[in-house]
Amino acid sequence: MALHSEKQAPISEEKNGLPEGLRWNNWIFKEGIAILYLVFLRHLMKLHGISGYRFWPTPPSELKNPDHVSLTISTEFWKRAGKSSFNLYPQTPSPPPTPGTSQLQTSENLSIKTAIFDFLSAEQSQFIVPLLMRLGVTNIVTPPPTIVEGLIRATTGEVSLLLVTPAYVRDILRNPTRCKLLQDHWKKDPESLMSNISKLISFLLEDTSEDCLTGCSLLPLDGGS
Amino acid sequence: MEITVTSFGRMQISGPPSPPESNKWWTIEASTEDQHIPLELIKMAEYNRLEATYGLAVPEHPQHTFCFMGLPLQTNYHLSLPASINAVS
Repeated sequence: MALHSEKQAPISEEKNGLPEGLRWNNWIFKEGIAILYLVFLRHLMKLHGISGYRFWPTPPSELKNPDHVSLTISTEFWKRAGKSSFNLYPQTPSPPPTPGTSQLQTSENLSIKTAIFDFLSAEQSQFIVPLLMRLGVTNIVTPPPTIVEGLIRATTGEVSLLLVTPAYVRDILRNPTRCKLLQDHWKKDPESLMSNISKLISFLLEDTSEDCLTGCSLLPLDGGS
Repeated sequence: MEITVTSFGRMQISGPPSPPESNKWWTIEASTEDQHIPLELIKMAEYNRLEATYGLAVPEHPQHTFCFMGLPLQTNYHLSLPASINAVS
């Protein structure tokens, strides 16, 4: 690290030190530390799971009074995180298994390309994510809001994240086997059946720009079919 | 651009009396080999005896919220990152 003449701090602004020193330090921050940070997080996320998100750098847009070093590392980190193939994202924990179903979740973290990101509001997430898991969709990840912010900005334009959206859930429910699984699960709690169906339909109809509910056999018919 | 990770592990930092668990840090160190350093920086690095060796550390215990940059000559340089940084001068 190139330091100021008084050797008390790294050169981080051109006016305060040699331009070469600043170039060297910026190169270390961007091409060394930002990359190492991703490698470090790959280990830490494996060890700590969801609680490992606390080690992630705050996205540049969320930094309060950022210093040059933090801003440089954070900016470069998020640029690289949006393209990284590292398995950085722990799966959202499954709901407790019900009798007769198997736990499909594995403990392997997921990469940005293999994860389905849950950026829903807390209320929607609490209803929709367990429902998707019951249907066998286990590669869902639910990062905290600051990480969501960083990922959205880091992936704009270049990488498209697969998100839990009404359209995604409608697609899942067009599979008759999965629909049957959901109906069977809900039948175990008949008292909540209508409220569950109502919540699901209101979620599915949030985005009605396309084909809506065609092909989703959500409501059991009188004959039980 | 390539980096070489030279160490990764958990270490206990000696400090003021506190539960041993709260002094444990995860650390990682890496370096960049000369052939991956940009030509325009190599001469300056040699002249100033700079090494492309750097590391990161995070406290294992969640209650730690402070951060510092650890240089050979200075500590307690506050950063807005949840990680401590060390780079060789």
